[in-house]
Amino acid sequence: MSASAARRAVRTATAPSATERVRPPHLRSAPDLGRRRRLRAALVAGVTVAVASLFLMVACSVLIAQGQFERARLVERQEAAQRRYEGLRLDVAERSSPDAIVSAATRLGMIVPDQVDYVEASVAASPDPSDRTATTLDESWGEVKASLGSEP
Amino acid sequence: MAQSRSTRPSQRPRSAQRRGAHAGPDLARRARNRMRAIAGIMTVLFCAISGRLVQVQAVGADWYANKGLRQRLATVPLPAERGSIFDRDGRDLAISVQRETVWADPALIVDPVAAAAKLAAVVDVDQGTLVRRLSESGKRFVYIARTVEDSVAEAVRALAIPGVGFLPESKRYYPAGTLAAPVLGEVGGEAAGLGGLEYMYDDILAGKDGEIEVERDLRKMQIPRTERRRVVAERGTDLVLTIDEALQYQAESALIDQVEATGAKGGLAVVVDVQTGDLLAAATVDGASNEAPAHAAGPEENNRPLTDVYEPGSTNKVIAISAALDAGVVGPWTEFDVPDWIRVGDATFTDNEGHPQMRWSTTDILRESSNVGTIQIAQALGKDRLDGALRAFGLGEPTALDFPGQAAGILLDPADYYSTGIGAVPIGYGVAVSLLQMTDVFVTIANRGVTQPPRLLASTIEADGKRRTEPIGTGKRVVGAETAAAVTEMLTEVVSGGTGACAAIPGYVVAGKTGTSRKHVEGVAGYSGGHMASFIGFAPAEDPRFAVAVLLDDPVPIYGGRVAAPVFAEIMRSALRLEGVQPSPLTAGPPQWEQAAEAAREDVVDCAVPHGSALEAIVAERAASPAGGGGESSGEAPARAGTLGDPTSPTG
Repeated sequence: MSASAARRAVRTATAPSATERVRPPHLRSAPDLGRRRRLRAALVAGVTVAVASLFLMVACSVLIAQGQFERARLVERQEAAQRRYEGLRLDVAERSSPDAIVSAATRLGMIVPDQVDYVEASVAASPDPSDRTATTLDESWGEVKASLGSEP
Repeated sequence: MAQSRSTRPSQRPRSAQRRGAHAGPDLARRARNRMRAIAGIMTVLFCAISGRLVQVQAVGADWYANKGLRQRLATVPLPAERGSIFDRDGRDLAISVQRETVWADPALIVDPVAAAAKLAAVVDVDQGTLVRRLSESGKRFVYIARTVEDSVAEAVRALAIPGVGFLPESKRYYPAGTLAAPVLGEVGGEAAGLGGLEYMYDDILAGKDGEIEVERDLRKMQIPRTERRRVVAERGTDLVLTIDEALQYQAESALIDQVEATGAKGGLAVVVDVQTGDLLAAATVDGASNEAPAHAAGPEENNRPLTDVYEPGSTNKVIAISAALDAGVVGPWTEFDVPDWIRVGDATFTDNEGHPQMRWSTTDILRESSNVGTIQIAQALGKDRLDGALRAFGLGEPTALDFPGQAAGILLDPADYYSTGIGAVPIGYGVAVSLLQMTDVFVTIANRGVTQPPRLLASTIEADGKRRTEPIGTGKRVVGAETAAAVTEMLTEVVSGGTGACAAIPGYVVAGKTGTSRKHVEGVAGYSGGHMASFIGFAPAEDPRFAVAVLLDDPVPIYGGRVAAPVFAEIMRSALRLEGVQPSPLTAGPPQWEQAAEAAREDVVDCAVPHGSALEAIVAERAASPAGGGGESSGEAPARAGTLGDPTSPTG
C-alpha cells in the first residue's frame, strides 16, 4: 500500500458518516415538491378522467335509453299512423264503392228509372276514345296508389 | 368521581342494595350471553345469507339468470300485411287493415266473473262465454275478441284488467261488399285464403310474418337495448285484376233485376275484352227465396261462370256452322230444305216452332235457330270434324285461367256418341260447358278466328313497388278469318231480325246468338221441365271490343232471346259507354237497332230489363198470382217438345 492510499484509508476511517452527522435543528432535507405535485396532478387527473368517463358512460347510457324510449314512442306513433292510414283508406274505398254511391244517391232522393233513353249520336259527333272521362290505370295510378307502386 | 360512586349505593333502599350486590356480575354475564346469542344468530344468518348468496351468485347463477331471462324474454310477432286486390283501375276490392285482438291469461285473472262483466260491456261477446274462457284452468292464452275496432281496443285498455293483453292482427275487408265476391273468395280466421283468388294466390298475397325477440318489464313494456333478434315482416304482393269494378256492378245489377223479374233460380254473366282476353266482369246471382230477394252471390259460393257447367243449347250451333263453313261443306248462302222435324237414331228432333218445309240458307238457319237445319249441316260435316271443332274452340278442357275448381266441361269422344249424338251435340246437348268456355267461342269468332286466352290477373305489385305485368295470352287459329267474318255477319242477322232482337243496342251493330236448353236432371237420364236461357254475343260487330254472355237458370219466360238478351244489351251498353267505344258507322238502309226494334214489336216482346217501380210491379203481380209463378207457364217446354228423354226442343 502506498502512502497516499494509506492516508485515504485513514481519512475514510476517521470521517463521520452522513447519518452520524448531527444535522442542525433548523435544517431538514427539502422534499421533492415537484414530484409530489406531479403525482397529485396525475392522481387528480386520473380520478377526474375516471369520474368523467363514468359520468360520460352514464350520460351516454341515459341518452341511449332515452333514444330507445323515443324510438319506441316513434314506432308506436308510426304504427298508429299506419293504422289510421289503413282505416282512412278503407273508409274511402267503402264510400266510393258503387253500392255506397247508389245508396247515397237513393238517400238523396234519386231513383232508378224504369226506362233509360239514350241520345243517338251520329258517327261524326261520336266521342273520341282518347277524350274519355273515366280514369284508367295508366293515367291515375300514380295519384291514386302512389304508396303502392310507381308505375302502372 | 370515586366519592360520588361510593356514596350512591348508600342512598338506595336496602332491598336495592341487596339486589345490587348480586346484579353487577349477573347483568354483565347476561349481557355477554345476550351478545353472544345475538352474535351467534347474526353469524348463522350471515352464513345463511352468504351461503344463499354463493348459491345464487355462483353455484346456480346460470340457472337463475336463464330463469329471469325467460321471464323477461318475449317473442313479439310482426304479422305481414296481406297484399291488396285492385280492379283494373286501381280501385280497392280487398284490403287488409291492422286491428287489435284482445286476449287474456286466465292464470292472471283474479276474478273471472267481474272481469267478464266489464269486458262484455265493451266487446261484443256474451258474458257467459267470457266467464267460461277466463275460468279455463291450465290455459295461459284465451281469445276475448279478435280484430276489434280501435275504439273497442281503447275501451278495453281503459279497463286496465290485469292479465288482459293485446295482439296486432290483420283483418280483411272487401270495401265493395259482395261485388265479385265469388271471384275474390275470402280469408279465414287464420288469415288463410279460403276460396277464389284469395285461395289461388294465397302464397304471394300472404307475405312473410316477422318477429322480434326482446326483453319486457312487468308492464309488458320493452326494456331498452334488449332487442336480441329481429326478422322483418315482408308485405304480401298486391294483385291487379282485369275486373272493372263499375262494369262488374252494372252486370250484377242488371242480372239481379232480371233474375228477380223472371223468377229465375239464379243467373250468370261474363264480360270479356275481345282483344286481350281480359275478364272484365264475372257475375253470379242467386235467385229469390222466402228469406231474401235475388242477390249477388257471397264469397263462400263458387265462381259459377267458371266452375259450373250446363248444356249450351243453341249457342253451340255457332261451332257446328263455323266448322262447316271453314271445311267448305257449306257457305253462308248454301240452301237447305228444312222441315220442322228430323229423325236421328231413335229420336225425333224438332224446331222450336212448327213450320212448313222451308228453303233456308245457312244464314237463315242460324238466324231462326233451326235445330233441324243445324243437324243437317252437322250431318254433312260428320261427327269427327264436329268433334275436332268443339275441341279446337276449347270445349272439354279448362280455360287458361287456371281458376280453383274450374270445370273442364263434358265432351264425349265421337266413338262414344249415342245414335242421337250427331243430332244432339250440334244443337248443344250431350255436351256440357262452363259459361266462360262458351264465351271464349264467341271471342274466337270476334277475334277473326283466333282464340284469345282469358286473363283475370293483369299484374302483381311486390312490396317494393316493383310491378310485374302478366302477359296477354297468345291464341291459336281455329277457323279462317273469312269464316269468322261470315259467321259474324250471320250473327248480326240473329240480332237484326232473328231470335236475338232484344240484344240490339242503339248506335252499335251487335252480333250474338240466343240459347235455350232443357235442364238435365242430376243423376238421372233425361231432362227436367226447367230451362237454361242464354245469350252470348259481341260488339261492335265491325271491330269487336267486348264479348258478353248472360245465362239465366230456369226463368219465365224460358227463352234466351226474351230474358237473357235484354240483360246482354244493358251490360254491353255499359261496357261500350265506359270504354268510350265509337258507335258503328251508318250503312245504307235502316240500322240494326231499328230493324231489331221492329222485329221485337212484331213479336210483342218487351226488351227492357225492369228496374225500380217496374220491377216492383212485376214482383208484386207474381206474388199475387195463385201459383205465385207469374203469368207464363212454369217453365214446361212448349207443345212441340221432342221425345221425352231426348234433348230436342226447345232451343232458341
